[in-house]
Amino acid sequence: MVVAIVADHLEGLPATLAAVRRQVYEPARIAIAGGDAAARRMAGEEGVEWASSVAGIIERVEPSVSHVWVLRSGAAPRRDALRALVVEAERVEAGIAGSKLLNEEDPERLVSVGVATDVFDTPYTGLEEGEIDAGQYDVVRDVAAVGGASLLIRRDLARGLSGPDPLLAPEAAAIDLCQRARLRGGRVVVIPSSEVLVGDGEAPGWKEDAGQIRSMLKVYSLVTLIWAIPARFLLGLVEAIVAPFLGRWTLFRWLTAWTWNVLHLPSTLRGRVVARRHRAVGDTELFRFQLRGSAGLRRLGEETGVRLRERLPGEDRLSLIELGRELRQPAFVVGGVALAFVLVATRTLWNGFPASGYSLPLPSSGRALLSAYAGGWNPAGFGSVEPLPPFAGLAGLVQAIVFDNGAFATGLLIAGSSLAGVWGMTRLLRTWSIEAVPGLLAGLVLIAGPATRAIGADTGLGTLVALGALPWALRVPLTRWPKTRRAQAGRLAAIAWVSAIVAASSPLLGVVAPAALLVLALITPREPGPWRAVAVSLIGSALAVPMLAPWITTADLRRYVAAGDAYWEPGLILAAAAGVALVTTLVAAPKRLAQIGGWGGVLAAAGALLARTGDLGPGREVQLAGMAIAALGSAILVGVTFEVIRQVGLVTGWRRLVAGLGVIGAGAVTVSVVLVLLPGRAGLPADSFERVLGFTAAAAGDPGSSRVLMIGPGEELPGDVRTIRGAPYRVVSAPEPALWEAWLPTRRAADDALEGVLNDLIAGESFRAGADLAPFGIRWVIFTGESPLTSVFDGQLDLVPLQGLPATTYVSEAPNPVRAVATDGTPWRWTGTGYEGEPDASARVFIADAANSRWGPEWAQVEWGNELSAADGDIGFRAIGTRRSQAVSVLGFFAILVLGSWWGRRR
Amino acid sequence: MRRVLLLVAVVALTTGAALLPRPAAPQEPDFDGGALIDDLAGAEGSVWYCPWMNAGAARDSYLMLAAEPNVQVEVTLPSPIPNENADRASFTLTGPGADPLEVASIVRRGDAPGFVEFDDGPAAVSAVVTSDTALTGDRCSASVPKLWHLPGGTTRPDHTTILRLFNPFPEPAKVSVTGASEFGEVGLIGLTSIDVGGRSWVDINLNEIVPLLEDLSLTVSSEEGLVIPAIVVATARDEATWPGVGLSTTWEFPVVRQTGLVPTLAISNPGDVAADVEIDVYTGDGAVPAARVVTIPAGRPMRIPIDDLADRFFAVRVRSSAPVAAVVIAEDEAPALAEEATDEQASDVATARIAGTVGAAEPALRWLLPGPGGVRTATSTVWVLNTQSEAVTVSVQPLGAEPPAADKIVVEPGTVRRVVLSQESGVAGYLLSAGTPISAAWSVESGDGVAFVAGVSIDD
Repeated sequence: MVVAIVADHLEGLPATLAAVRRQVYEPARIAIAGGDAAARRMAGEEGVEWASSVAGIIERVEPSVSHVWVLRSGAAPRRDALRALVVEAERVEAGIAGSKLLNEEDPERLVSVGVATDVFDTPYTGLEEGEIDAGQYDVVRDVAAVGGASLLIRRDLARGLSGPDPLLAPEAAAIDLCQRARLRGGRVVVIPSSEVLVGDGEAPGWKEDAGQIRSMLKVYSLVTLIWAIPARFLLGLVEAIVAPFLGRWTLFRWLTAWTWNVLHLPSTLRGRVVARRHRAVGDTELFRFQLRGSAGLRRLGEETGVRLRERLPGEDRLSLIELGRELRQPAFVVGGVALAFVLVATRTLWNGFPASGYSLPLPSSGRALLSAYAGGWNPAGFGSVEPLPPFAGLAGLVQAIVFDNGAFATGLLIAGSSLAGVWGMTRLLRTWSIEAVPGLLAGLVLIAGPATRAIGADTGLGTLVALGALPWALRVPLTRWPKTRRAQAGRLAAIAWVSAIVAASSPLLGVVAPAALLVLALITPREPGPWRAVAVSLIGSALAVPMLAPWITTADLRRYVAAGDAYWEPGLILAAAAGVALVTTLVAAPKRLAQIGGWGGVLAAAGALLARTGDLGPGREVQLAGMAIAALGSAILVGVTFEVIRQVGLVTGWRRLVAGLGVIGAGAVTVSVVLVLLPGRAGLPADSFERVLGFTAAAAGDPGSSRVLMIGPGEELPGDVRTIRGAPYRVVSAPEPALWEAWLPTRRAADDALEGVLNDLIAGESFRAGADLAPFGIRWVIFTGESPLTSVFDGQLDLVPLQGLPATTYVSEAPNPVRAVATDGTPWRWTGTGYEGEPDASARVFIADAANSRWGPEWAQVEWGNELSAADGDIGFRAIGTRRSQAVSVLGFFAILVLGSWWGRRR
Repeated sequence: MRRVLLLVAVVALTTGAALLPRPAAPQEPDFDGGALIDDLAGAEGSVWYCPWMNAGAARDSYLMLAAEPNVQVEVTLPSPIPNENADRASFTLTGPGADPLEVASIVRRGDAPGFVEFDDGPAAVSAVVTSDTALTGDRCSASVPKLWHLPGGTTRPDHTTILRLFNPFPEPAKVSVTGASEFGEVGLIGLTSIDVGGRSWVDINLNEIVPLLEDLSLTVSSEEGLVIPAIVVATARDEATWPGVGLSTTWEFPVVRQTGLVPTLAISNPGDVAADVEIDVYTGDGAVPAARVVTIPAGRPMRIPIDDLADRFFAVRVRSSAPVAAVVIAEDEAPALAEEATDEQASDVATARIAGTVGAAEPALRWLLPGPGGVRTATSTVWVLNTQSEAVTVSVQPLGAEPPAADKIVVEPGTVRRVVLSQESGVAGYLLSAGTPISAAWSVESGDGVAFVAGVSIDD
């Protein structure tokens, strides 16, 4: 018997030598392999041989030696480890035998008992982290490989294999050796009675990955390599993409491993020739001891599960192997219920936003929407350079990221924000040790409770999205303040970007988090946490303000706040139910929960108050913000109320009876969330414009190049409306208005001109409405409901009523009712951001958009519209540079904040 | 204590929310539809609908156009063939001017209801139909209400009453026609829901539905879309036609009697209460207030003979205690029944003339009369009624290709003045201006036919 100690590092070498010398089964020789001059010197001092590699030692082993025991420096075998290895290896006629590895600091803890690999030679121990050795694996068995810290190899086999590959990292070398041994018909077993203590060691690096790839290349047949190598490459790439979300960067490791293999390909091929020359079995024998699937993906799944679990309430971490058991745990039940609820409640939104009120489908191009936000042409009404609300920019960004798939972007925005809302609510309530189920119910109330349904009914898309981020804007500042500067900076960055998402979705909600935290601090004045949270939330919100550019630098904020009327009328029954929950919580809950419940109640009441201040001036956006605050407050209240009843030890006697009443009230509020399930629109109303506008898509010519004059009650028209002598109307693009048309700019000359035409029609001074409206690009007049304008359009000589449609509809008989027409009468096509048509150097094109000198080429104002050269066959709008720069800067700043928060979280 | 404070805070906030008043409701529409267009000539563009025109082998029609400023005129005559393009004519009328446009110059296909669009105003249109034996016409309609009244119909023997429902708009119309006679409400079977296709017309022969009614008043209401109705009352040789009208408590008729014709007032009271009607008579010499007083029962029409109220030409004003619709009809005195008639009377039947026109609801300072002098083969007469208590000097501005200079006439208080025009005058219309409100109309007489045509007041 010869012992070869691989001198990876010198620190552990003396201990390993001492342990070897204590063995009851004495080795014939002891040798140190590898290492630098210091290792060689130490070998001399210790009186043992030295060789440059294990292979060198094997070469020198005399025939009387039956086995070579390869130990890694630092390994501390128990006294009988070698004997067990030799005895059992001979008994089972193993080519390679490995020891059971235990943690040297905690010898009860298993490190490995043999190693399984997948086809990619990625090791998988199958052990849970910290798994205790209770003898559960104490049976000699065949394994794919054994740990490199202690393996016994038959001398003849070792000579035939030339020992471990000296280019490989220890674990990869062990796997490689085992694979090659098995290929020659050698048996690879683990012998648990041979126990070796090892340190934690370093995390596997790129060399291990590279070694696994090299091992694959050496042992597998070409048929296996044809699919296994590309698969390994792609799996590594997937891991490189996903791992950053788990706090790991594997991209460079992946790249380096493959690069290393490319550079070492010649030696790999030589090794392959040697390894396969005397093979006794095929790949199938190797596969027998391997895992199905990918161990790397399995590990990734486990990590993801653990991360999820860490963010959900519950005590144990996730193990996909024990999925069945784990799935029964509250965290997964809660997560599953939340996911199922959100998927059902938002199922129809994966086809796009329903067209109703301010909810309009995303345009066909997310980049165009983003561009319109960032200093481009705002196409609402007759267009303007007024900035779109930030939510339009956010939606455009999401749509652009998902390759312009508007329907998917819609689902992602609403379902994603809903999930984030539930998740955020459970996390927020965990701040006060409120458990998973009350947290889930609170989350459901947040995303589908009475106030949120009112937001949906009012088509407040941005507010719905903001609600998903709002709990996080409270939770992150409330989290324990980190100690290191780096982590503190990361925390501030996280608060800022979360606040930015809230503010971008609904600017007024940007101030809610610090304000709500201030209320909490006032309720719990002696606790430093809320006060600190107020401060950091204020800083985060302040950092988020610049990210509303370019909207915030150019928008008429007064108009934004005052447009429409704020007057929310909540259902009295559910309001009373919430009131019961509040009173009972204040009466029966333990002090801490009573304070949090009271905080929720104050927020809900303040939100309701804010949402009804229309008589004082605030408008629709304030109402939506108020309803969002009420939704947040009522969700907190519901969560606390359900938590109170769980406090069996603290809430007893009459208090428990009162708490039960509160649960009834909170239950009523919670049960009402099912109202969003059947329609599946997250509370948004049904599509009402597709029904009346849909036919235009099938109209002759290019319907998308015309406009529609929609007339009816204000609530039955898309987005903002204008009025003519009190009668609401709205001009939108055919065949259906997109989201960027929801918000009308201030009146301009084009609007005045249209109003003049409508006034003439009302006064009976015109009888050819079709011809009068054609210069505005209006081809259809559609009545969505009752309007005194109905009879005005009754007696028009060139408006033909269309029969069989759900709404009273007229189509113009006038020539060219299109948005852009050349002087020769040829219509030009509207592309969403500009116009295109036949190039004609001598022709001019009139475009029926509000006059603006940024249109080109060769712009001239004609009345309220624009006239341009047709020479290029293309007419476009030159974006406003400063706004575009601001938008780009905002995007960059946001990315920096996200990266900063990630950087700050790294340990 | 803190719990109480929290509860107080919530209660205070909730109370505040509950007490906040609802914001003021947005402004309600200050109109309830298109403006009620009177048949006035305003200072803006206008459309005039002329349902009764006919240009075929036996008849010719003239669109009598008159305008004060230069106007672009577009005449549209929808085709009776569905989906066929309308026949159109476009031209400029130099103002102030008047021009008789022969419909046959655009199309000759028999019935040819149409409409005329002016891009500016004041401008107005009358339509006159001529044949070898008949002459008929009246001013066209500029208003398009949903409810029309057409008094003056009759289905007595030797008279035929045709109701024409003209829909000049693209939208199909569904209309309901109700009637009342001297016997009360008339059951007009089959007329409760009449479909009138877009840009088409429907003729209804009332003699076939409700024969032998001396006095038939019709009401046309649109359930969907709009129509322009007109009534045509024909004798064996002549015809009278007039458009639908609204309701008013006063009606002025400057033209009532042409030589030899016996005038009758046909008044319809569609209201729920009886209407006390006083008829003032204005002759060339002076006024006879309340020369006849009648009470018209609710929901009934009444034909009131007025031939006996004056010897020569005269005008009347109707004053009613309730809104009524009124027309004046003048025709040759009814002959005896055919089997009892003498040869001379039989000859009268053959030449029985009839004319009818709508009145003016109120007098005005300026009047546009499209057409006087425009029918070259007929004699036109302009009638000016001054119901005021003071004499008025009226500026009479002839309109035409080469019109003579304006003239001034004085109309004494409470009198009617007629101006007979020369057939060779080259005039095709008149613009009348007065210092105090007057009313004006014109008549045209040719051989066996005669027509009364209402003037169009100018809305200043």
